[in-house]
Amino acid sequence: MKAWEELVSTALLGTQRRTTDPAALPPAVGAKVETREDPAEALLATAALLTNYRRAGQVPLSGTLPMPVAAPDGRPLIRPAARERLARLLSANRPELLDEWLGAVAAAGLRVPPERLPALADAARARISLRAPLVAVAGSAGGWLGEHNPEWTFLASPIPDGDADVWRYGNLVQRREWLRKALAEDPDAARVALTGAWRGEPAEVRAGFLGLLGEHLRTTDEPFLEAALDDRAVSVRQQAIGLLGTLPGAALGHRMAERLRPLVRVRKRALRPDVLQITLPDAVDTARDGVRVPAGPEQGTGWLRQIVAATPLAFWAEFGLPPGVLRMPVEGCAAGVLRESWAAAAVRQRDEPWARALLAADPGGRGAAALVGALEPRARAAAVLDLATHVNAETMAKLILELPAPWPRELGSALLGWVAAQGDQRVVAHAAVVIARSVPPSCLRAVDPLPEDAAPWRRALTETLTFRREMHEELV
Amino acid sequence: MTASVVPWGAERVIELAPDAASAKAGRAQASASKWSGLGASPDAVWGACKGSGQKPYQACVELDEPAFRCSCPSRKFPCKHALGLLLLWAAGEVHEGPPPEWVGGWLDGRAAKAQRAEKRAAPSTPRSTEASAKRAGDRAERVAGGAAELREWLTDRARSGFGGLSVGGADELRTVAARMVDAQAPGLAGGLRRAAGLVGRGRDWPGALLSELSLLYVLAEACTRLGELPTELAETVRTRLGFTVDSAKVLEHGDRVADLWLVCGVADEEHDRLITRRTWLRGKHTGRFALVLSFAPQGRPLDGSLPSGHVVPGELAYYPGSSPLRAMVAERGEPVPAPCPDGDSVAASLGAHARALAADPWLDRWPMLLSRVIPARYENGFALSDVEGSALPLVPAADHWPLLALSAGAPITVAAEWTTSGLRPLACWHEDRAVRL
Repeated sequence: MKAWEELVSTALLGTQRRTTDPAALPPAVGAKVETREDPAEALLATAALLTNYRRAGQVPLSGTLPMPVAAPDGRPLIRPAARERLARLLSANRPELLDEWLGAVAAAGLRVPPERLPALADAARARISLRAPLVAVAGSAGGWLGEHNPEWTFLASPIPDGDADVWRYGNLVQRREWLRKALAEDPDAARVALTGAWRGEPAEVRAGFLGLLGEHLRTTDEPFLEAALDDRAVSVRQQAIGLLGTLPGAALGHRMAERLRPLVRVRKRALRPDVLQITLPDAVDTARDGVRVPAGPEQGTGWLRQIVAATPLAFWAEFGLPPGVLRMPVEGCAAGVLRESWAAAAVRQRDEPWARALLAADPGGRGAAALVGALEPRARAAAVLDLATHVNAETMAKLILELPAPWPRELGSALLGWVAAQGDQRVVAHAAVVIARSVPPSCLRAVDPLPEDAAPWRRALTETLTFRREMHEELV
Repeated sequence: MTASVVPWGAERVIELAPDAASAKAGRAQASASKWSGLGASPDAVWGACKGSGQKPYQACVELDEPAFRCSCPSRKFPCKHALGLLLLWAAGEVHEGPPPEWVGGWLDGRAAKAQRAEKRAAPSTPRSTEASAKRAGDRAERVAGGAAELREWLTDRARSGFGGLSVGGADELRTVAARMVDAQAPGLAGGLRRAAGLVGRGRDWPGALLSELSLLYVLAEACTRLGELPTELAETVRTRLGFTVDSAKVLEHGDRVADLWLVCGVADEEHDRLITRRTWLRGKHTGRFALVLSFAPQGRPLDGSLPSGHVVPGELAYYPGSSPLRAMVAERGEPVPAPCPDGDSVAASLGAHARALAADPWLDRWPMLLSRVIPARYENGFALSDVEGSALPLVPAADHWPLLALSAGAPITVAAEWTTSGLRPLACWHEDRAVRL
């Protein structure tokens, strides 16, 4: 408004140096101040009138561009108790619990109050593991926020249903999501799409896709994985080797067995156990199969480790059952080298008899947690309880820290029982923290109140378990 | 004392927290495993919480006011134990039972104190009326003196130019503000302090400063001719100058309006360690807006009797003035959560604002209840647009994402304060659920 700007200029310079033309004022304003004689008083009175003239005359903005409308979200809102729980989770800085909570909300088919999404999105900016469950929970409102706030683009990955164009033109998050779904729902189409696009993808994308394929591996995928052994990128080749190792009867395993055969001999002894005689390899043509060890005094041992770990464990059947093989004295290399390589093979091939035998032979060994993970889920609890009778609490506590997630229900119950029976030791307190957050929801039952003088770690364990139980109950 | 039959929501409990840290600490106490001896009656909730000390802390909340008591040494009010206790109660984890002795004793003591206070408030003697009339006369003289001095200073400044204020002007304005404090004119002092904050801020600071100071000039001028003004306008001027109106007088003579009052927005603002809570009400039948102010020093509880998004049946007494807005609660019933209310269009709200401004030129914020508005981009920020396509800008430099997330582009009913820098949303309704922003 011109008259106002004039007035501000005069006010800045002072009425001694500048005057304003009263004729430029709106007539209604001018009429009210014409009787003022002192120019300074007239200026102030005019300014007050014009200020409210403008404030009262404020017209609404028109022609603003409305924002698009997000698709309606028909899922019910979480209950008030769960809303309050979310407030506690956001303020308590327990991201692993928030992870679990979001997953449970998504699984229950619920949504959170939208006004909480910005705080959750900020939390997920700092903690990437929150993103996938948050995208599921946030639904269409989340996608809308992701499109409008550049800091939350990770939320903007709507998956148009069954649209194959997403695979061709979508962003990486969308394409991964498409492939993950297709591998589960239409495995053949997924593989056609993957092989079709394969050569044009950047290395890290190929490695990522291979990881997704690995979650749905079939024996017929072997030729594709064999081809990936010739990939330009190390990361892709490593991934392919790992996946081929899990395929029973794969050609890679046969080639490894061929390499191993000349290195293993048995020396028969009368009245005493036979001896495994190992020859360390001195040259290996294995670049393609991923066996690479830097030159040096340990190169032979390194080669041996990798070859044994990648050879199907069935190779050893001719020397006896796993417990028997494990009892044979070893010559030519340290017994530990063979044992660790067998453990690596047992984990990779999920070979239960070997895993059991290795656990029995060395209950407190470094790889024990991974070997437990190689057992069928229902068998893990018994294995861990058996280990507990052989090793001390400190070793058990360390093993618990490394047990692979997710824990089956029986394992959770077994470890809750174990920890309840332990005394107050620092290592046990550490393990209790892991137990409190790792036992599956099905293990969470109301617990008896603790005595007044219970140790702080026991109190914390009970509190976390109670918190988790309540938070799952609220989402039913 | 009304019995609290409607259970509170957790949001209502959290609104009582004196600050965010207390809310967080209170939430951490809301775990039944920490408590023993929990119980509730229609009037109160109590329990004992295991703390770091030997003895558990005994906490008790009287629900009507609400009032708090806890044996912990915290100086926060309510403390985290009282908040945790209320959260547990709101979650339905505290069951009815007879109050133990220590709770009963405290409640009886409070009732007795309230009775004594009522007695003290009985009509004052003629002698003290005389004395207070003399005090009031003295003060009016001092304020008039201060106003005359301010007029003088402002006209001098207008002669020599506000440009001179760009260097050291803020300090100068604060010095004048201090003189207005001495003259017992806090309204003038507050305006000068606001003006001091404008100097040099933003591209348009000279314009903003001129607006603030010119309105202050008119106020100072009005002060010198209070006797000539119509009664209502004179009351408005007195209020703006900082004269307080005795609440007993408001209750006795104020315009009484009974209605179902919707608590459409609550805004807290801190100034010099004093928190002011503005609670905006709107009558369901009369359509009238009202502003209830409450004050609390930092760390003390704010008035929680008018929770945001609830409807409270009751009678308000308006303070006198040319555009009555401020009111006090004369009588009230139990707050009940309210469904989404009917609001107004942008044009109608601006019209109401213009009318109010014509009656009270010093009006600095005005309540708006906008029906079915949608978010829109506006310059670097956002605006809310109604079905007619009329839009108002949202205040810049505020986090509007919770509101945007609630709308996600769809129409939403919003309660807000309209200020000179834009619309400041206070609450909105999402699928019939009130959300405080």
